Amino acid sequence: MLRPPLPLTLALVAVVAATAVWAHATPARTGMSSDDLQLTLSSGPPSSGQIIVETETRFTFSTTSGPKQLAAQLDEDLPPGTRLEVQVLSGAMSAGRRVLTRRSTSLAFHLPATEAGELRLRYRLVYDIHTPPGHYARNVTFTLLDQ
Amino acid sequence: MKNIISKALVVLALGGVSAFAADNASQQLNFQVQPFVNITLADASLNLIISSIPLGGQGEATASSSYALVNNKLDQKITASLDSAMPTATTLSLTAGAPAGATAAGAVTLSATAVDVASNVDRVNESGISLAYTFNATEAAATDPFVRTVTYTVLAM
Repeated sequence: MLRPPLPLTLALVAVVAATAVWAHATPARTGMSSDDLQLTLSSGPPSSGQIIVETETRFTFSTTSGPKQLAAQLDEDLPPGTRLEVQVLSGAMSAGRRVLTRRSTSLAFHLPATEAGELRLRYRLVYDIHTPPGHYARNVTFTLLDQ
Repeated sequence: MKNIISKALVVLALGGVSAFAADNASQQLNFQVQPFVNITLADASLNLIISSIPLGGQGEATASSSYALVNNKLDQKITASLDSAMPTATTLSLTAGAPAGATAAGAVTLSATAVDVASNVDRVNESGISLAYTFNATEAAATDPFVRTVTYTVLAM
Protein backbone atom coordinates (compact mmCIF):
# COMPACT_ATOMS: atom_id res chain seq x y z
CA MET A 1 0.00 0.00 0.00
CA LEU A 2 1.35 3.29 -1.02
CA ARG A 3 1.32 5.74 1.87
CA PRO A 4 2.17 9.42 1.38
CA PRO A 5 5.15 10.69 3.24
CA LEU A 6 4.43 12.08 6.71
CA PRO A 7 5.02 15.82 5.90
CA LEU A 8 2.46 15.63 3.05
CA THR A 9 -0.08 13.99 5.35
CA LEU A 10 0.31 16.74 7.92
CA ALA A 11 -0.02 19.42 5.22
CA LEU A 12 -3.23 17.90 3.91
CA VAL A 13 -4.70 17.71 7.41
CA ALA A 14 -3.77 21.34 7.98
CA VAL A 15 -5.51 22.37 4.76
CA VAL A 16 -8.67 20.53 5.68
CA ALA A 17 -8.62 21.91 9.22
CA ALA A 18 -8.03 25.46 8.03
CA THR A 19 -10.89 25.18 5.57
CA ALA A 20 -13.22 23.85 8.26
CA VAL A 21 -12.30 26.63 10.68
CA TRP A 22 -12.71 29.30 8.00
CA ALA A 23 -16.16 28.02 7.00
CA HIS A 24 -17.35 27.93 10.61
CA ALA A 25 -16.03 31.41 11.47
CA THR A 26 -17.69 33.23 8.51
CA PRO A 27 -20.46 35.43 9.99
CA ALA A 28 -23.77 36.16 8.25
CA ARG A 29 -23.16 38.82 5.61
CA THR A 30 -25.41 41.84 5.41
CA GLY A 31 -25.18 44.90 3.22
CA MET A 32 -27.16 47.96 2.26
CA SER A 33 -26.62 50.60 -0.33
CA SER A 34 -28.48 53.35 -2.06
CA ASP A 35 -28.02 55.11 -5.36
CA ASP A 36 -29.23 58.35 -3.80
CA LEU A 37 -26.51 59.48 -1.43
CA GLN A 38 -28.05 62.94 -1.30
CA LEU A 39 -31.63 63.98 -1.66
CA THR A 40 -32.95 67.48 -1.96
CA LEU A 41 -36.43 68.35 -0.82
CA SER A 42 -37.61 71.68 -2.07
CA SER A 43 -40.81 73.60 -2.51
CA GLY A 44 -41.87 77.11 -3.37
CA PRO A 45 -43.24 79.74 -0.99
CA PRO A 46 -46.43 78.53 0.60
CA SER A 47 -49.82 80.18 0.73
CA SER A 48 -50.66 78.50 4.01
CA GLY A 49 -48.68 78.06 7.16
CA GLN A 50 -47.54 74.46 6.68
CA ILE A 51 -45.39 72.95 3.96
CA ILE A 52 -45.29 69.26 3.17
CA VAL A 53 -42.65 67.94 0.79
CA GLU A 54 -42.39 64.29 -0.22
CA THR A 55 -39.84 62.30 -2.15
CA GLU A 56 -39.09 58.63 -2.66
CA THR A 57 -35.83 56.73 -2.57
CA ARG A 58 -34.63 53.18 -3.04
CA PHE A 59 -32.25 50.94 -1.13
CA THR A 60 -30.86 47.57 -2.08
CA PHE A 61 -29.86 45.11 0.57
CA SER A 62 -28.51 41.61 0.91
CA THR A 63 -28.34 39.39 3.93
CA THR A 64 -27.49 35.76 4.43
CA SER A 65 -29.53 35.54 7.62
CA GLY A 66 -33.07 36.64 8.20
CA PRO A 67 -35.48 37.87 9.14
CA LYS A 68 -34.07 41.35 9.70
CA GLN A 69 -35.67 44.59 10.77
CA LEU A 70 -34.86 48.02 9.36
CA ALA A 71 -34.20 50.94 11.69
CA ALA A 72 -33.29 54.57 11.00
CA GLN A 73 -32.15 57.63 12.89
CA LEU A 74 -31.00 61.20 12.32
CA ASP A 75 -27.55 62.55 13.05
CA GLU A 76 -28.93 65.66 14.76
CA ASP A 77 -32.20 67.28 15.74
CA LEU A 78 -34.33 69.04 13.15
CA PRO A 79 -34.95 72.80 13.35
CA PRO A 80 -37.98 73.94 15.38
CA GLY A 81 -41.33 73.47 13.69
CA THR A 82 -39.97 70.70 11.44
CA ARG A 83 -40.86 67.03 11.28
CA LEU A 84 -39.34 64.33 9.06
CA GLU A 85 -41.28 61.14 8.49
CA VAL A 86 -40.34 58.04 6.53
CA GLN A 87 -42.40 55.08 5.40
CA VAL A 88 -41.32 51.83 3.79
CA LEU A 89 -43.49 51.33 0.72
CA SER A 90 -42.33 47.91 -0.43
CA GLY A 91 -39.75 45.24 0.21
CA ALA A 92 -40.65 44.40 3.80
CA MET A 93 -43.46 44.59 6.32
CA SER A 94 -43.77 48.32 6.90
CA ALA A 95 -44.25 49.78 10.37
CA GLY A 96 -46.16 52.64 8.72
CA ARG A 97 -45.16 56.27 8.61
CA ARG A 98 -42.65 56.90 11.36
CA VAL A 99 -41.17 60.14 12.67
CA LEU A 100 -37.38 60.21 12.52
CA THR A 101 -35.38 61.50 15.46
CA ARG A 102 -31.90 61.00 16.83
CA ARG A 103 -33.17 57.81 18.46
CA SER A 104 -33.31 54.67 16.39
CA THR A 105 -36.81 53.97 15.05
CA SER A 106 -37.99 50.71 13.52
CA LEU A 107 -39.34 51.16 10.02
CA ALA A 108 -39.93 47.62 8.76
CA PHE A 109 -39.80 44.00 9.78
CA HIS A 110 -39.40 40.58 8.22
CA LEU A 111 -36.73 41.51 5.75
CA PRO A 112 -35.91 38.12 4.30
CA ALA A 113 -32.53 36.55 3.70
CA THR A 114 -31.77 37.45 0.11
CA GLU A 115 -28.94 38.31 -2.21
CA ALA A 116 -30.83 41.13 -3.94
CA GLY A 117 -33.50 42.78 -1.83
CA GLU A 118 -34.98 46.17 -2.61
CA LEU A 119 -36.70 48.64 -0.35
CA ARG A 120 -38.71 51.62 -1.54
CA LEU A 121 -39.11 54.41 0.99
CA ARG A 122 -40.92 57.73 1.04
CA TYR A 123 -39.71 60.77 2.96
CA ARG A 124 -42.22 63.34 4.14
CA LEU A 125 -40.85 66.65 5.39
CA VAL A 126 -43.28 68.92 7.22
CA TYR A 127 -42.39 72.40 8.39
CA ASP A 128 -44.28 75.54 9.32
CA ILE A 129 -43.78 79.19 10.16
CA HIS A 130 -41.72 78.31 13.21
CA THR A 131 -38.94 76.85 11.09
CA PRO A 132 -36.35 79.60 10.59
CA PRO A 133 -35.62 80.29 6.93
CA GLY A 134 -32.36 78.74 5.71
CA HIS A 135 -30.62 75.73 4.21
CA TYR A 136 -30.50 72.53 6.22
CA ALA A 137 -28.81 69.15 5.84
CA ARG A 138 -29.40 66.03 7.90
CA ASN A 139 -27.95 62.54 7.57
CA VAL A 140 -30.29 59.58 7.91
CA THR A 141 -28.64 56.28 8.83
CA PHE A 142 -30.52 53.09 8.01
CA THR A 143 -29.46 49.90 9.79
CA LEU A 144 -30.38 46.25 9.37
CA LEU A 145 -30.81 44.54 12.71
CA ASP A 146 -31.58 41.04 13.78
CA GLN A 147 -35.27 40.75 14.41
CA MET B 1 4.78 18.95 -3.85
CA LYS B 2 5.58 20.85 -0.72
CA ASN B 3 5.54 24.11 -2.72
CA ILE B 4 2.16 23.29 -4.24
CA ILE B 5 0.67 22.58 -0.83
CA SER B 6 2.12 25.78 0.62
CA LYS B 7 0.59 27.86 -2.17
CA ALA B 8 -2.77 26.16 -1.69
CA LEU B 9 -2.73 27.11 2.00
CA VAL B 10 -1.95 30.72 1.11
CA VAL B 11 -4.82 30.89 -1.39
CA LEU B 12 -7.28 29.51 1.15
CA ALA B 13 -6.11 31.99 3.76
CA LEU B 14 -6.67 34.92 1.41
CA GLY B 15 -10.07 33.57 0.37
CA GLY B 16 -11.10 33.48 4.03
CA VAL B 17 -10.48 37.21 4.41
CA SER B 18 -13.47 38.57 2.53
CA ALA B 19 -14.68 42.19 2.79
CA PHE B 20 -18.15 42.14 4.47
CA ALA B 21 -20.55 44.86 3.37
CA ALA B 22 -21.73 47.26 6.06
CA ASP B 23 -25.13 46.59 7.57
CA ASN B 24 -26.08 50.25 7.36
CA ALA B 25 -26.34 52.97 4.76
CA SER B 26 -26.69 56.73 5.03
CA GLN B 27 -28.38 59.42 3.01
CA GLN B 28 -27.97 63.14 3.33
CA LEU B 29 -31.20 65.08 3.06
CA ASN B 30 -30.92 68.70 1.98
CA PHE B 31 -33.86 71.03 2.34
CA GLN B 32 -34.42 74.74 2.27
CA VAL B 33 -36.98 76.82 4.07
CA GLN B 34 -37.67 79.97 2.17
CA PRO B 35 -38.65 83.21 3.92
CA PHE B 36 -42.25 84.05 3.19
CA VAL B 37 -45.01 86.45 4.16
CA ASN B 38 -48.57 86.51 2.94
CA ILE B 39 -51.14 89.09 4.02
CA THR B 40 -54.69 88.79 2.77
CA LEU B 41 -57.72 90.99 3.33
CA ALA B 42 -61.14 89.58 4.12
CA ASP B 43 -62.96 92.19 2.01
CA ALA B 44 -61.93 93.44 -1.42
CA SER B 45 -63.99 96.61 -1.05
CA LEU B 46 -65.91 98.51 1.62
CA ASN B 47 -68.42 101.35 1.42
CA LEU B 48 -68.31 104.32 3.77
CA ILE B 49 -71.28 106.64 3.23
CA ILE B 50 -71.87 109.79 5.24
CA SER B 51 -75.57 110.57 5.03
CA SER B 52 -75.66 113.72 7.13
CA ILE B 53 -73.29 116.33 8.52
CA PRO B 54 -74.25 118.35 11.60
CA LEU B 55 -73.95 122.10 11.31
CA GLY B 56 -70.45 123.16 12.24
CA GLY B 57 -69.43 119.58 12.78
CA GLN B 58 -68.41 116.59 10.73
CA GLY B 59 -70.17 113.54 9.54
CA GLU B 60 -68.85 110.08 10.17
CA ALA B 61 -69.12 106.62 8.64
CA THR B 62 -67.42 103.43 9.79
CA ALA B 63 -66.70 100.01 8.35
CA SER B 64 -65.01 96.91 9.73
CA SER B 65 -63.02 94.17 8.12
CA SER B 66 -60.10 91.90 8.94
CA TYR B 67 -56.87 90.52 7.58
CA ALA B 68 -54.87 87.31 7.80
CA LEU B 69 -51.11 87.05 8.06
CA VAL B 70 -48.74 84.13 7.47
CA ASN B 71 -45.15 85.07 8.18
CA ASN B 72 -42.00 83.16 9.11
CA LYS B 73 -39.65 86.11 9.47
CA LEU B 74 -38.72 88.00 12.61
CA ASP B 75 -39.00 91.72 13.39
CA GLN B 76 -41.48 92.77 10.75
CA LYS B 77 -43.93 95.66 10.68
CA ILE B 78 -47.12 96.35 8.77
CA THR B 79 -47.73 99.68 7.05
CA ALA B 80 -50.76 101.11 5.28
CA SER B 81 -50.99 103.81 2.60
CA LEU B 82 -53.48 105.25 0.13
CA ASP B 83 -53.02 105.40 -3.63
CA SER B 84 -53.65 109.16 -3.49
CA ALA B 85 -54.48 111.86 -0.97
CA MET B 86 -58.00 112.21 0.43
CA PRO B 87 -60.16 114.98 -1.01
CA THR B 88 -60.41 118.31 0.74
CA ALA B 89 -62.30 118.33 4.05
CA THR B 90 -62.26 114.56 4.38
CA THR B 91 -60.13 112.16 6.39
CA LEU B 92 -59.83 108.40 6.57
CA SER B 93 -58.42 106.81 9.69
CA LEU B 94 -57.64 103.22 10.49
CA THR B 95 -57.38 101.24 13.71
CA ALA B 96 -55.72 97.93 12.91
CA GLY B 97 -55.36 95.02 15.25
CA ALA B 98 -51.97 93.32 15.55
CA PRO B 99 -51.11 89.63 15.34
CA ALA B 100 -50.36 87.79 18.55
CA GLY B 101 -47.19 89.08 20.14
CA ALA B 102 -47.04 92.20 17.96
CA THR B 103 -47.79 95.81 18.84
CA ALA B 104 -50.72 97.74 17.37
CA ALA B 105 -50.18 101.41 16.59
CA GLY B 106 -53.75 102.41 17.44
CA ALA B 107 -55.73 104.85 15.33
CA VAL B 108 -53.74 106.38 12.45
CA THR B 109 -54.71 108.80 9.70
CA LEU B 110 -54.23 107.34 6.24
CA SER B 111 -52.54 109.24 3.43
CA ALA B 112 -50.38 108.61 0.39
CA THR B 113 -47.42 108.23 2.77
CA ALA B 114 -47.11 104.82 4.42
CA VAL B 115 -47.76 104.77 8.14
CA ASP B 116 -47.05 101.97 10.63
CA VAL B 117 -50.14 100.14 11.84
CA ALA B 118 -48.42 97.22 13.63
CA SER B 119 -44.85 96.49 14.70
CA ASN B 120 -42.76 93.72 16.32
CA VAL B 121 -44.42 91.15 14.13
CA ASP B 122 -42.70 87.76 14.37
CA ARG B 123 -43.50 84.28 13.05
CA VAL B 124 -47.26 84.04 12.95
CA ASN B 125 -50.10 82.27 11.19
CA GLU B 126 -53.26 84.13 12.16
CA SER B 127 -56.50 85.26 10.60
CA GLY B 128 -59.38 87.50 11.61
CA ILE B 129 -57.17 90.37 12.75
CA SER B 130 -59.40 93.44 12.97
CA LEU B 131 -59.45 96.49 10.70
CA ALA B 132 -61.69 99.42 11.59
CA TYR B 133 -62.06 102.36 9.19
CA THR B 134 -63.51 105.77 10.08
CA PHE B 135 -64.40 108.26 7.36
CA ASN B 136 -65.00 111.85 8.38
CA ALA B 137 -66.09 114.82 6.29
CA THR B 138 -67.09 118.42 7.03
CA GLU B 139 -69.75 120.40 5.19
CA ALA B 140 -66.97 121.74 2.93
CA ALA B 141 -66.39 118.34 1.42
CA ALA B 142 -67.59 117.62 -2.09
CA THR B 143 -70.52 115.24 -2.38
CA ASP B 144 -69.26 113.29 -5.37
CA PRO B 145 -68.38 109.68 -4.50
CA PHE B 146 -64.73 108.73 -4.74
CA VAL B 147 -62.57 105.64 -4.38
CA ARG B 148 -59.33 105.11 -2.52
CA THR B 149 -57.22 101.96 -2.39
CA VAL B 150 -55.50 101.01 0.84
CA THR B 151 -52.29 99.05 0.45
CA TYR B 152 -50.89 97.01 3.34
CA THR B 153 -47.21 96.13 3.30
CA VAL B 154 -45.21 93.80 5.53
CA LEU B 155 -41.54 94.70 5.75
CA ALA B 156 -38.56 94.54 8.06
CA MET B 157 -38.49 96.98 10.94
